[in-house]
Parts: sequence; structure tokens; C-alpha cells
Amino acid sequence: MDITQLLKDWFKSDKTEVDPSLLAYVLLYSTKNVTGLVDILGHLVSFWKEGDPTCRTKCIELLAQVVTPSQSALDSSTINAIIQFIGERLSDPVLVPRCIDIYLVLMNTNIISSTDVIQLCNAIFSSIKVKKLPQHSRFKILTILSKALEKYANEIQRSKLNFIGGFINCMDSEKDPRNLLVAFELVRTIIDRFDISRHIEDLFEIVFCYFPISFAAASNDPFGITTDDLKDSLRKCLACTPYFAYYATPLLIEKLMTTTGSAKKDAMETISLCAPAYGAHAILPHAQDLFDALVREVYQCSDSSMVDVALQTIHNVVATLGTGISIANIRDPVEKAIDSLLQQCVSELKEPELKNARSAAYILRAAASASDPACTSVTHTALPIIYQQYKSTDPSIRQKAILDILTELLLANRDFQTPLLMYKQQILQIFILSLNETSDTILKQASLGGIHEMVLMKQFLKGEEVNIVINHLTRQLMSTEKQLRYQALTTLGVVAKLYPTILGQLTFPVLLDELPCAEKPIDLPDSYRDVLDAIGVLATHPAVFNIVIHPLLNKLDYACGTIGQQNITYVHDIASTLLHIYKTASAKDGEALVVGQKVLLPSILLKCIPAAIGVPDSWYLDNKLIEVFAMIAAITTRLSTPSDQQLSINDAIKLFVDNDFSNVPSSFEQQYIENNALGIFELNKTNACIDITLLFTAIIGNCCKEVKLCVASVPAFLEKLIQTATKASCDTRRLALSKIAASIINKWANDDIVNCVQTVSNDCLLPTIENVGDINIRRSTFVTLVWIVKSLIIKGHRYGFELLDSIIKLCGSPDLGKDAAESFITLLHQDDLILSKPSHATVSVKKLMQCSESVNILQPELQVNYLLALSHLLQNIPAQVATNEISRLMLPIIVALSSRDKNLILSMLTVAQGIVPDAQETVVQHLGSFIHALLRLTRFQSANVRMMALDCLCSLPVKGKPETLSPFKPSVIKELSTALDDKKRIVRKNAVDCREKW
Amino acid sequence: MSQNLINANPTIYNTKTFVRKETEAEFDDDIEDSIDSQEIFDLIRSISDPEHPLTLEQLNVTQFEHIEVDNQINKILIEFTPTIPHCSMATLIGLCIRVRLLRSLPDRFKVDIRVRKGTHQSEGAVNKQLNDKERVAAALENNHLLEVVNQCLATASLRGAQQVPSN
Repeated sequence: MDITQLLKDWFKSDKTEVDPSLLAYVLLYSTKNVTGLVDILGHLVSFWKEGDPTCRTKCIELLAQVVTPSQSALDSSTINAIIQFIGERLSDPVLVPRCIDIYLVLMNTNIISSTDVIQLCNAIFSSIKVKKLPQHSRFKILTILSKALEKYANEIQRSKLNFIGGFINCMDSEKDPRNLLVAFELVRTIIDRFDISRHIEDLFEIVFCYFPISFAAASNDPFGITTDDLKDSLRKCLACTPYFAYYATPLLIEKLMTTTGSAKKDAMETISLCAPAYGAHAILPHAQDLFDALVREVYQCSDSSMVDVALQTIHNVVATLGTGISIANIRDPVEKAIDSLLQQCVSELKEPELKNARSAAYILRAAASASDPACTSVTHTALPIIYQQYKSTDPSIRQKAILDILTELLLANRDFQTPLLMYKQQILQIFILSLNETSDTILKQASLGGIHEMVLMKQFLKGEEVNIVINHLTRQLMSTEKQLRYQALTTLGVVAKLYPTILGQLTFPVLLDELPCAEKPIDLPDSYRDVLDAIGVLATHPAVFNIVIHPLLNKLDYACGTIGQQNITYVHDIASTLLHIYKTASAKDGEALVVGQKVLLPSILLKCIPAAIGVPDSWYLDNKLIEVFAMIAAITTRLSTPSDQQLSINDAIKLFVDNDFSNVPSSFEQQYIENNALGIFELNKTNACIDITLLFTAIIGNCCKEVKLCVASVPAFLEKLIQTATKASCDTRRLALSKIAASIINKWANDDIVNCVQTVSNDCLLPTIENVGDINIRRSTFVTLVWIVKSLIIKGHRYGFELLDSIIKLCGSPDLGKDAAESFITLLHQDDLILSKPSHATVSVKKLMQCSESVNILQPELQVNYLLALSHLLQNIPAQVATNEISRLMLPIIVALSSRDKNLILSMLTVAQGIVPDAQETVVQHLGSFIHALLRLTRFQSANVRMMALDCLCSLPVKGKPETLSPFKPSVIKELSTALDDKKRIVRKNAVDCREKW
Repeated sequence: MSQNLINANPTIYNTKTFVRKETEAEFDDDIEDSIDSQEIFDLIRSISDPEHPLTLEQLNVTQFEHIEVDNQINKILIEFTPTIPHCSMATLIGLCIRVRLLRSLPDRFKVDIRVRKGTHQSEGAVNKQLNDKERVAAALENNHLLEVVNQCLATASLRGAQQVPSN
């Protein structure tokens, strides 16, 4: 049918809607012919002329429906024609919203020309009464204007179109938050792109009328617009151009003085942002009023967050005043402006123990840290007054207040140190005096705080002053007060980086003097642990490490060689300290490693060998010490070059496998060498000697793959290792050998080695574990198996997972079940000594879950083992993996928490604490049972369990939503009353905190 | 509120003098720790003052020495010292202490909260109000008042561990 006839019929009919068939026909027509849409427009014009209002509505409706799907097919002449057509027909307000829809479609086309855009904008500005339109149409208009600016800002500016005026009209009295966000954005674009000099006042008024924004976001707002979004957007508009300064500054200050609460905060934050944009010249005339208002806030406000904002604003305003003023008189305006501020502060400082003095100190710090001239001005005005007031005979409350104020000023001077140098002597004297002449801990703490700041300031303390400070700090290290020791140590930690040599000369002799050695065999002081802690912190800096390592080795020699047996804890502590400082220092610096290779490790090995082969009067050794020394050997090997590693591995094999002592510098009597206690395959050694096989493990386990094991056949060596390990009666030997085997499999695995492992496991390990009667043999074989599995899993080897299945099955065994469950710690935990690579645990979560579920029904008494295995597994895998599985994990977690096994509960509580609070939404159906399981645990026997359960319970409301938790609230609060009366104080503390959170 | 402070410039006292030494016994399940005045002091020392961003301890309003606990007859007596004798915040401060203890102590205790003798003009009235169950309950039904109390209690869980962050 002819299109004209079709349209005619439709227009004449009573139908108001566009039939799908008609629409399809018209669309087809318009795409078939190049001038299709223009033709249709022609028809519409004629219908418009003849028709009544209904007919006109139909015209626009049809056009809107046709234009939307043809958006991509429109050409520029068609666009122009449509714009013309619409532009002449905007007088009827009923039709306008639909016209705007058409405009938006046109604006979204890529080919719309600048002339068309200008024409379109003109039509909007001149013919549409925006205020009367509904929200969504106003939103579309603002969107159209944004698009226009995005595409043709320059063209619009060059044209005669009064865009800014038109826009201001459109935005006038807009109240919808969504529209306002677009409008504010537009204001910023206009300010950015246009010359606004003739519209400043209008633009300012249209924006500032919204200040301060009082908008309460609806909780169900689908767009999620917050008050802060609006505030931020408006604030950015105000800070967008310095042109606004003239109008904005007095008004902002007025708002600051007349409003309260959040409006006042808004005003301060806006000033903070606007000050740098407006510049010093704009602020200066109002500085007095501004500071008065801000300072009043700091002195009188009870809300610390408001005080913080006020201080930040003072800082920003002072910083602004310091910029943009000619260099010749740079000090004058700033000084003048902050003069009154300073005067008030100074008068408050005269009574330092009162609250206002503290506020004044904060204000001074905020101002002084803002700019160089401000810093100079503040320092010269305030400092003399403060230090003149200090008398060491004053009550400590006053002294402390003065020290605190001084510290604030020191903090302000961090970046500008020149003015303070003048007063350095006096300040230093005050701090040192208050540190020495008092027994008041609080005062000493304040003093140490100030000294810390002085040390941190670059180039502030020099020469002799540094020595004095270090001496005083060192004295504090011996204090009986923990807090003082801690503070002194922190400061000395900074010193260690800056002046390692002086620290080595002044502090370490004092520290080391406290520990006994051969030259000075004093009794072990009670405070030795503090001394070691201090060494542990300070000597981690490589330069310091190199200075102290020799004297410290002497102390260790004396400790292990002479007083070890009677002071086992001390020996352990000193060895651990040595390990700690070596570990940290060698990671930072290669020189420490050289010391380790040349001095530390050789001297330790030389002392361990005689002890291990039974030479009398040698070092005291035990397993703990061997672990520490093995770790030292491990670190040294790990960091050495491959060629160095090869050398040490060769030496080690000679010593531990071949019983060849030729490389050991000391000579031993033949009887000890023949005893061959070092030989790793020798099982019939005397039990009196300590086993040091772990040192060999450490060396082998930390070589890189390129290093060769110089043994006849690696598979044969490996098999022998595994066989010996299962037979070894000594636990440490067995573990050390299993670890060597694991390292070899992991590093040098090839087909031969894997075959060897398979043969040994299938022929020996697994049958022993399953069939042998003696539980001890089964248990020791199991340990070896676990380490083999670990090494294979880390490599991601298939056979490892096959063996893992058998371990999972073993969880169901009545006698080895517990061992199997515990073995997951070994399997998944990253071992520091060897095999330190993350393991692949994701696969086994599912398997374990399946096994755990299947056994649940069959043998409830063995369920504990599976749950324990599960909890170990969950503790050692990335939290994200566990969180993904959370809905399936909830049931086992709740079952575990309801058991009576303390270890299981503790372990599962750790797991639950880590994952449940963050995933409350996903496990909402289990939340009730979970909460009640926790509440039951608040009455458990063990205080530890009670505490952890309360902790876990406490983290629920912290991270969860109130609406999810509110049903449980009454019962939780009621149940917690028992915990509030717990017999242990620490439990009660957690209960109080927990109840407070609920 | 910031325009007319009752005591605009109070003295700030040194704090942290009383910190309980941590011992092994704290974790020993067989030893029973009874509630003592140190524990009560820890509960209330870090409550914020309604007028200033400072704790009651910093203003010397609550002091360790002015707390008595009797576990035998389940009685606790707390005396607090307003910063100035005409302090109209005294009742509010007392209410904060009352609410904190209501929420934190087992209900077997009878808690008496009083203004320290001779430190406030209308001692009797304040004491009467603070120890009248019904009046306290009525006060807490006022939402605005409850909000202020909760604001003051927001810092209470610090237990003197650190001072209220004011900067």
C-alpha cells in the first residue's frame, strides 16, 4: 500500500497508538529510500497543518518512534530537517517531552553538525520552559547540553548563541539530586571551556544558592546518590575558578559563622578546597574573620572530627596566604594575617596545663606547617614564651603540657628547620632535663616523644648533640618501664639508619656489657631479654650488624659452651636473636651475607660438629638450637651464588655421608671420628649426642636446581634416605632425612626419581602404614610419607595427589586419623627451612569436603579428624578460596564449633573469624545456628575458647548489616550477660566489647 | 552547644598512671579474677566529656582512688568530680557512667554513682537523680539524650589505651 494512504488512514482513525505494523512499514520505507524520512516529514507537515491537537500529538509520537530505531541511519540533511521541523513546533507544552526525546536521539548521533547543535540549543533556550517539565525531561535537557559542550564547545562559544545564559535558565530552581549532579558537572565544563567573565555573578548565584546542601538521601534511592556526592560536586564547582572568590569568600565566612553541625563542617571543607583556588589576594581581606571563626571551632567544639577539619582549614588558608604574593614583601601579609591568631594562641599558652593551651598548640602546628614564612613567624613568637615557662621544679602536669606543646611545634617544623635551629640548645636541654630529673613515667614519655621528633628532623642535631641524645636514649633502654624502653628503642632504630657507627660505639658496648662472656663471667641479669630485644631491633641494619656480629658470637660461644646447660632459655634467646638480625640484615645487604659465609656459619658449624660427635667440653646443643642454626645455614645457602652452593654441598656430603673430616680445620681424636655419629645413614650411634642432620638438610634444601648432588646415583641415594628415615628411631633424624628426601624430589625430580618414589611408596611406605602392627612404626613411616607428598604437591605432580587421597582416607582410621588430620598443617603450611613455595590447595578442598560428608553419617566419632583436617586446610589456603566455598563450609564449621574437642574448636574459630564476618550475606540462613554455637562457646571450660568465641561474635556486627542481625540481637544481649560475669577478667573485657558492638 | 561552654578551658591531667600488669595468671583457667576497682576504672576512664574531645580521665573527673568495689555484698561505689562546682553537665556525665556500667557489668551488682563530696553545688539533687532507677530509665527514653550518651560512650572501649584522638 502507498505510504501516503497508510498515514492518512491512521491519522483519520481513532487510534492514538502507533501500530507495530504501521511502524514497521514506515521504517521500511524510510530505509529503502534515501530521502525516506524527509518524505515522511513532508507528510507530517501537511497533517500538522490540517489536523487538530490529537493529530499533532500523533505526528510527534510517530516521528519519535521512527527516529529512535533509525538513529544510526540518519544523515545530516535529515537531522537538519528534523531539527527544523521540531524547532517550529515547540509551542505546545504537551508535546515538548516527546520532542526532547527526539532531540536526545539526534544529539547521540555521530554526524550531527555544529550548526545543527547550535540550532538545537537555541530552540531549547528560546522555546522550552524547562522549569515546568517533569524531572526526566529536565534530566534529558541537561544531558543534551552536556553532549553539546562535549562535541562543539568551541563552535558554540564562537556562535552568537548565549549558551551560558540559556543554561542558567535551564538550571534555575532545579532540585532533583540526579539532575543537580549533571548540572554541577556542566557548570564546571562551562567554567573550564568558556569565557565566563560576563556571567560570573549569574553563574555564581545559580551555584551558591545550593550551599550548604541539606539533602537526606533516601535509603531506597535506585541511583545511590549520597549527600557527599552532591556536596563534593558543588564544592568542586565553587573551587573551579578564582573569579568566584569575590562573591564566595564573604558568603562562605558568613555561613561558617552562622551555621552549626554538618553545614558548618561543609563550610570549612569548602573553604579548605577553595582557598588555594582563590589565592591569597582574595582571602587576605577576610583573613581576620575567617581565623576567628575557625579558631573558635578548635577551642570550643566537642567533636574531634570537627576540630580536625577546622585545623586542616587553618592549614590550607595559611598555606594560601603564603603563595602568590610578591617575593619582596613575602613576610608582611602572612605575618599580618596570622598575627591576631598568634596573639590569642600566645596568651593561651601561658597556662599550658589548661585545655585551651593544647588547642592553641594544635592551631600553631596547623599554621606553622603550612608555609615557610608562617613557620618562621610562629616559631619566633611562640617558642621563647614556651621555653621560658619551663621549670623543672613545676608540677609534672605542667611540665608535660609544655613538652607536648614543644613537640607539636617540632612536628610543624619537620619540613622547615631554619627557624628552630636558633632555639635548638634550649629545646634539647628541656627535653634531656625532663628525661633525667624525674621519675614520672608520663613526663619521660613526653620527653622521648620530642626527642624522637628531633632525631627525625633532617640535619637538626649535629656532632656532640647526637652523642648526647644517643647516650640518654641508651640509658632508657635499661629502664624498668616497658613503654619507655619501647620508645627509646624506636628512636634508636631511626638513629641506627642515620648514624650506625656512633650507635655501634655508644649503645652496643652498654648493651653487650649486660650479657655474660668469658672475659666477664657475670650472673645473667633478669633484664637480659630486654637487652636481646634491643639488639634484635637495632642490629638489623646492615652497617650495625657488621659491627656487632663478632662480640655477639663471643657471647653465644660463652652461652653455649659454658653456661648453656643451666640457662637453656637464655641460650635459645641469644641464638634466636642472632638468627633474626642475620636474616633481616642479609636480606638488605650483601655485606652481611659475606659475614655470614665467612664468619657466622663456619664458627657455628665448627662448634656443632664436636658436640655432635661426642667430644667432651663442647657446646651445649638441643633441638631448638639446631633448628636455629639450620635456619642460619639455610639463609646463607639460599643467598649464595650457585658455585658457592656447589662447594658447600660437596663439603657437606663429604662430612655427613662419607665421614670425611679432612675439610674441618680442627682435629679430633680418632675415636670420635670412627664413631661416625654424623653419618646420616648410620643409625646405631649413641643416644647421648645431639643429632645435627638438620644442618645438612638446610644446606641441601636451599640449593638451586643447577647444583649437582655428587653421589653415585641420585635415585639410589633417595631410596636409601627414605628407607633410613622410616627406620630411624630418633625423631629429629627421621624428620631431617624426610625433609632431605622431599627437597631432592622437589628439586631434581625426573622420571627415574619419580619411579623410585613410586616404588618405595607402593612397596614399602603404604603397606607399612596399612599393615604393620606396631603403631609407632606406622606413625614414623607416615611422617616420611607426608613430606614426600608435600614435595610432590608443591610441584603439582599427579602422583602427589594420588598419595594425598590415601592420606585423606587415613583421616578415617581410628589410630592414625589424628596424625592424618594434623598432617595437613605440614602439607599446606609454608615451611621456612625448605620447600618454601606456595602449594596448590584448591583441588583438595572439594575432595576433603566429599570425604568429610560421606564419613559424617557412618562414623560420627571419626568426624572430628576430618573437621580438624578441614580447619587446618582452611587456615592454610588463601581466604578467597575459602570464601567462595563458604555456603558449603558453614555446616562443618557449625558442627565443629558444637563439638567438645578444644583444639578443633580453637582451630575452627580461627577459620570462622577469618571468613564468616565478611560473608554474612551469603550465609544468612546459617547465621542463627552460627551465632548460637558461638554463644554456647562463651560458656566453654577453656578461657581461650571463650575469648575467641566472643571475638568472633564481636566481629559480626562490626562487618555485618544491622537489618540482617537485628533478629538475633535480643538473644545475644541476653546470653552475653553470663559472659559479663565470667570468672576471668580478660574474658569479661571481650564480653563488654562484644556487647557494646551488638 | 559550642557557643556557651560551661567550662570552656578545663585543666588537662596526665593519664595512664594505672595500667594493670599483664601476668601469666590472666590466662590461667583455675584462678578466678574478681571484679576490682581497676577493672571498673578501665571501663569508665575513656568515656568522652560531653563538652570537649577529652576523656573523663584526662579531666580528672573519674579517678582510680574514688572507686570502691565489694564483691561480697555485690556493691560498687563510684564518686566523680565535676571540673567546676556549678557544672550542669554533672548529671549527664553521671548518666554516661551509669549507662556504661549497666551495659558492662553483671546485674548482681548494685552500683552507686555519686558526685564527690564538696565538689558540686547541687550534689544532693544530682546524686538523687543518678541513683533513682526510674529517673534514669525515663532519661534514657529520650532519644536525643540517648544519642548524646552513646556519643560519649563511643570512646569508652579504649580503656585508657590511647587518648581520644583530637588531632
